[in-house]
Amino acid sequence: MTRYLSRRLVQALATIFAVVTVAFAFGRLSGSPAALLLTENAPKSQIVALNHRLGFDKPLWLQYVDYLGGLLHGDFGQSYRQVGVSSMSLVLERLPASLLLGAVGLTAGILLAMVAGLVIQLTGSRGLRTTALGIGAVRQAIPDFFFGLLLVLIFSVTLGILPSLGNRGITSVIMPALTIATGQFILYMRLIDNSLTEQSSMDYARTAYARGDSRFRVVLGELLPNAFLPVMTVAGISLGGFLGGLVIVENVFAWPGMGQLMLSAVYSRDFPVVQSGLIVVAGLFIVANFAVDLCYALIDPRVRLR
Amino acid sequence: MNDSPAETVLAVDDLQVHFSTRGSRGARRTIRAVDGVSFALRRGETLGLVGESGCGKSTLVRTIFGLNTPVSGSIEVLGHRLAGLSSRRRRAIQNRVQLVFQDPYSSLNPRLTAHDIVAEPLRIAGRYSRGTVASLLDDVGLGADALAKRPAQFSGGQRQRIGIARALALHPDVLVLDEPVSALDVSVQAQVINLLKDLQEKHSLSYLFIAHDLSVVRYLSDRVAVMQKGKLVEVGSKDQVFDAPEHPYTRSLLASIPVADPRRRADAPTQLQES
Amino acid sequence: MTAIDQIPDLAPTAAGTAIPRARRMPRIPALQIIGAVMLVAVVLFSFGYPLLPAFDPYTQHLSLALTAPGVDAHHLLGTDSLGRDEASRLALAGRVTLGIVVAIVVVNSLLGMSIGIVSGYLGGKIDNLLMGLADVQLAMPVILVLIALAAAVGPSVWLMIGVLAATYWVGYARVARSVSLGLRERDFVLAPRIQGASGFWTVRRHIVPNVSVQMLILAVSDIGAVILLTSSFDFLGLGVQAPMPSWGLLISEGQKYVRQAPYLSILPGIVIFLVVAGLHLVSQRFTSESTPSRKRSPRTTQKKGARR
Repeated sequence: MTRYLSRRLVQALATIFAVVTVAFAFGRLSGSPAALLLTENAPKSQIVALNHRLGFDKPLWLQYVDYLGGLLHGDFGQSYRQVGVSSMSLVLERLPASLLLGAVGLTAGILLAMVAGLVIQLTGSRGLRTTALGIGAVRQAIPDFFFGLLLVLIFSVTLGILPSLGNRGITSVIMPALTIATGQFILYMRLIDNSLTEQSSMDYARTAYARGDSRFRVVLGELLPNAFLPVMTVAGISLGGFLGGLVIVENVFAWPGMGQLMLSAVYSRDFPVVQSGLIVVAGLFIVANFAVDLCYALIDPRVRLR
Repeated sequence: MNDSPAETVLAVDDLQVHFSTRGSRGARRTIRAVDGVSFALRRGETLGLVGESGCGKSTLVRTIFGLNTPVSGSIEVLGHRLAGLSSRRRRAIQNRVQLVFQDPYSSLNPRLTAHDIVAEPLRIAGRYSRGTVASLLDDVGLGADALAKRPAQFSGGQRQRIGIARALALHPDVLVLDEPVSALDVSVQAQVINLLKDLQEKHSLSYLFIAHDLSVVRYLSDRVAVMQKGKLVEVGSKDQVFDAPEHPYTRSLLASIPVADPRRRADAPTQLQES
Repeated sequence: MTAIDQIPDLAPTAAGTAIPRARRMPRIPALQIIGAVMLVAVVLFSFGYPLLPAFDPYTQHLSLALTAPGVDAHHLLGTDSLGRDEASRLALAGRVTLGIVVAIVVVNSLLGMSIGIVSGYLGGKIDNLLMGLADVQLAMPVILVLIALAAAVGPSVWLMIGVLAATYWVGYARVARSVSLGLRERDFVLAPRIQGASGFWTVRRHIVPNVSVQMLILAVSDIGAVILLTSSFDFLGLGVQAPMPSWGLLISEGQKYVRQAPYLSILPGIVIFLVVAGLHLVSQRFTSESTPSRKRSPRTTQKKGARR
């Protein structure tokens, strides 16, 4: 077990290192940021002074070393726009909101998919399956941001029952979470449906039926735990795409999360904020993958964490 | 066969081709696919090579054509060792040995017409002319209407003829035939075998004929070599090998040939039907 | 093979007697026709409307700003906040979006095909290197890479195209590689090699034609995903930049007026839906995906985000 853990730790550090280096490289791509941060007709002396203050006149490798050193001290660079404020603190401030939305959205999506999949399996209805898949496919052809906008149009503008912006109380999370959940629905529904169908033709299922167990009991008790495994795998794999969708949804609903922060950092060319954001995202990835592996090991006795 | 001192067109000397694989526990094992094979093919003769699957026939063939590299040993074509030559010279010599594949269903590109398939070696060598393609196909018994058709429109036997025409395009001296009729219906086999015999006479070809069907081997070959686990266990004239086999493996191979007359089955290895 | 086997409609059943295949359900391409209609409608509108004299996406009629569709005879789809003809804007946006998407897909498929064929056909160290590259880019979500670069050098449509070209080729490469690997040892590929064909020759004549077909299939079903992706980027301001219109941008601009003039956002959204759903219908045939039978093994479905 310890070998496994230490291997994962090394992998994690390597990933973070890679992300950090790539972020550094990107950041230096635009040359000196000073010219961008100041106004158009700033005198050259000001540009030079700012460059010096930010450390951009040093040779590249030295900047890199300084940067790494700073990271080890917990210094992730200061925001260009909010002088004196650590970019990492800005990012971490927004982290809980993103986590909340992501968790609620993903959970709702998987739950929805599970309910649909189970109902289809229990009733054996082809019509239901076709309908569910059809609805899912229609939703898939609508971009998330447009779907969100439609929700706002219907529930905020026309009906006025839900708030359209920001995070003001529990009702605010409904529409963004719904957008995410419906988007994830088709992915997991197909997966669960296929998985349950595959499991239902296996010997252990037939044995259970032969024993006299009711359909209800067999599907929920025997098939579901096995069918759930691929869901976790896919959740882990599609994490990247999921995060992308999260950024978009945060933007549509002005949800105060990390994605929204990073986007506004793009508009204001505040690179350190983006940089810190990337590091946090990489960290989240690592934690999430690890969690998935752990869950897998707990649920599936065939897996051994070597 | 000529009576004049026969020239050796293809000579293989102590060829060793090894593969290393990982066993189930990670241990490396060396498989000696070709383990010291030597033979000489003379002009105009047919050397039959028999052996069960897995004996190394395919590896031998691939090595002759440069698709596998031998660990040691040599291959000489028309007296020239391929290894030390300049690439142009090597290509010219290599082209004198051509291959006819076993499976007529996968040896032709399904998207190309018969014309294009036979034309390809000519185009590669810069010797293309439409007349040459037509005459090559005519040589194997396919008329001008075959030119524009695709493999799917031909039968197995016809596809094999196309393969033979392709192999003859560069006027080789040696044809290696890798189980050329195994995938064909019995009735068609005879036609293709006869075609091969005619072509051999017409173009003074030497054949290395690989097969597992012993009756076919007997019909076509002058000499026969028997291969087992990478080694040639017996080499001799056809009559010698079939009537008086020396090696026990040869004997067991021959014993498995079906004999039609039940009264003669007991004496099986000694008398065989001519096909 | 007996003669009966060769008559396509009389395949023998397990019982040994031939039963006509008319008993099988004929495939009704109704959904595909609907999809094709949706697709063609949008394409025709985007590329046909600009040819009409009424086409004018630039002139501002400020007095007519934010007119709803159907109110003014000259502006059947309404006007935007600057009084510009919405129908013209929509058509122009269609040209821009579709043009960019097709360009992206073409670049990616060609790039992916080349890399995949080289990787599959040559094998060995080159294969390891290229596939290693492929795995690396799989880890990071495209949007974050785009955000990072846009924050560094400023957002632009070329940046978006570049980032997508650098990451999206992987899906094509993998398919091209596996097809090439499979073909490499086929007899009809070995034959020319034995007869002196160079690698180029063999690849060009025998491998590329087969791989191209697969690339085309992949590309057609990819276009929908790329439309959604680029529209999202445009919406966020990471792609096409104003004043050039694109569907995503129009929706973003319309968002500001969602209360007074919802049609500004809805129209482009509907157009996107028509194209993407139409493509999906035409290329994937809903029905074949939606009914996994008990006996068949579950099929791998094409998930839109799976290749990122």
